[in-house]
Amino acid sequence: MKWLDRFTEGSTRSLARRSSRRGFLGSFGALLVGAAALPLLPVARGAERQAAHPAVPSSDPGDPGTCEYWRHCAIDGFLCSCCGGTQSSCPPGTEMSAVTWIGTCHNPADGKDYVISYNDCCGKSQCNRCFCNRNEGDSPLYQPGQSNDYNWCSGNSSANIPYHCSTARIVGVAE
Amino acid sequence: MLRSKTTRQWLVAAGLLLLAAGPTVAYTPRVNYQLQCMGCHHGDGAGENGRVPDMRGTVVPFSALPEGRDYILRVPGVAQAPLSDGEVAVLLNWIARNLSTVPVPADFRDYTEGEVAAARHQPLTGVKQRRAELLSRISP
Repeated sequence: MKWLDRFTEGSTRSLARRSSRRGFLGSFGALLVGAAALPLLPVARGAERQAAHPAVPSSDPGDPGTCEYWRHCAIDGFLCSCCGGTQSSCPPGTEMSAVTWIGTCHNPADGKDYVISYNDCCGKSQCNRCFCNRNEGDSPLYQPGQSNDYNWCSGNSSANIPYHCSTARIVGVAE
Repeated sequence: MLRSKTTRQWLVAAGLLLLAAGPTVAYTPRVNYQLQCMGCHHGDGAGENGRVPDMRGTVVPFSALPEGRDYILRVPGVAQAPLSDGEVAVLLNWIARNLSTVPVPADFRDYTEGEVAAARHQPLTGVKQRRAELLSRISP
């Protein structure tokens, strides 16, 4: 059995010469992080389909965490920018509503009206921070496409997922 | 000479005033699509599978049939959109030319304000059934 001892010793020493524990830990850690991040990547599928090339205004004045921010002119709900997301993206762990309502808001900086898509973020219970209810251009419920009173999370493929917060995404210039 | 020039200036000013006093908001068909259709049908017209119809493969073939045109003009989204009949006609022609995955044929008949007005104000009941019938007619 001496040859087995020699073989085992030799291969172990050669492995030890070629590799380091830290190197293994580093690449194994990277694999774990990568595997954990992978399912998070397609979170904003609805968002990508809604507006592939949004026009970005040259100036975007005001604080997105307030009801007075220009894009919030017809919002009704909790601001995603106060709930771990931004005015155009959902907080982690929530999914953007597939259908939504769309209106226009006036940007005081460049004097133009912009088409704003008020996608809801869904999948967690109500955020309960920064509640705003501004109704410029809002229509009654019998015109669903212009009404902010709907819970747009109900239009998602997974039925009855809870409403968390609302975004105000720019679609383009209203011209 | 001076007098006629002044008159002309007044006429131009009056014309500009008339233009300004016209419909307060008149958008391009692309923006009307964004405001009235895109929230549910998405930016490309694909809709939501099983919930919001995909218009990309149907708008042009449906438009080739009298029943298909009647259907398009009477579906809830078209019948109830807060747009004038003329705006609806322009919007439908824009959708056919910009979102359809079926090429627009050379003999495509544009929607007109009159055609929209004649059909649109009698909203359709049984939308799903009518759509299914039309789909069976256009599929090869």
